[in-house]
Amino acid sequence: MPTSLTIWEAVDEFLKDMASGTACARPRYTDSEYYMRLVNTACRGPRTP
Amino acid sequence: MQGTEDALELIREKPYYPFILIAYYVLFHRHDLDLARKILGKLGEYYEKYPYTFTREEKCAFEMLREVTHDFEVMRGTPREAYEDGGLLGTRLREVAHRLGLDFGDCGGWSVLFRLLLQSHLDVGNREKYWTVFVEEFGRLQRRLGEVYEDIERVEREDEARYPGEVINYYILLPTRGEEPSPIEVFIRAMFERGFDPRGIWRVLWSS
Repeated sequence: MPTSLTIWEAVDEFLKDMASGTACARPRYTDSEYYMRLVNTACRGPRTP
Repeated sequence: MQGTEDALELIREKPYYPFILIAYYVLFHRHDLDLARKILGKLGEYYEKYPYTFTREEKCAFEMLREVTHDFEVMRGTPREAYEDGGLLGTRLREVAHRLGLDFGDCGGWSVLFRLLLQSHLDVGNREKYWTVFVEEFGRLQRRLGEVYEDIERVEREDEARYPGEVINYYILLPTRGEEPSPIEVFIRAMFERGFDPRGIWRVLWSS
């Protein structure tokens, strides 16, 4: 069943996961469109060397 | 692969803080100045049309990051070779950090934490100084709610002494006592603790 996060729930979960370092490595809500939009924007591209 | 513009479609109305923080992350940790500027550009459309929908902290943080990206854009327009001798890049970045302190010294709440985070990235030689202030400010923000409760209790005691026996109704909406730090503060602190490799600035400016 798809995760029904509201946009603001997705945002807060995403920020918490970014803080713990898991959002990009192991995104938790892959079936949430909102959450994954944030992942697609923040988690692509080269990282700090 | 570069980050996509997916998140830009989520910027429709307040709150704006998540996208300010994501723009920061894209800039300093993904080294994508263009994408960060696109996110800020979309936020800027709302900022110009509906400035009253930004909280004071969002306004401060947005303006800070816009100022930093503007400076980066100007610096990127200069050949890399001009910055390679004599520590010119470090000097230029320290100037930007110093200006943030001057221009946004009146900002409060989490935007103070955000300013210190930006300054620590730009002025890496003084990271410890910024961290010390950051920890103090972070603790102060966490204590603030407790202080608000203490103020209310003090006013109640004063009212009781001033109007003995009278029933006074207080209509006050507050978060639950003992609530965890906001995701904003948790995010900013984590970014500070994670540290920042100053070589990343070169990639921000001249990788594309």
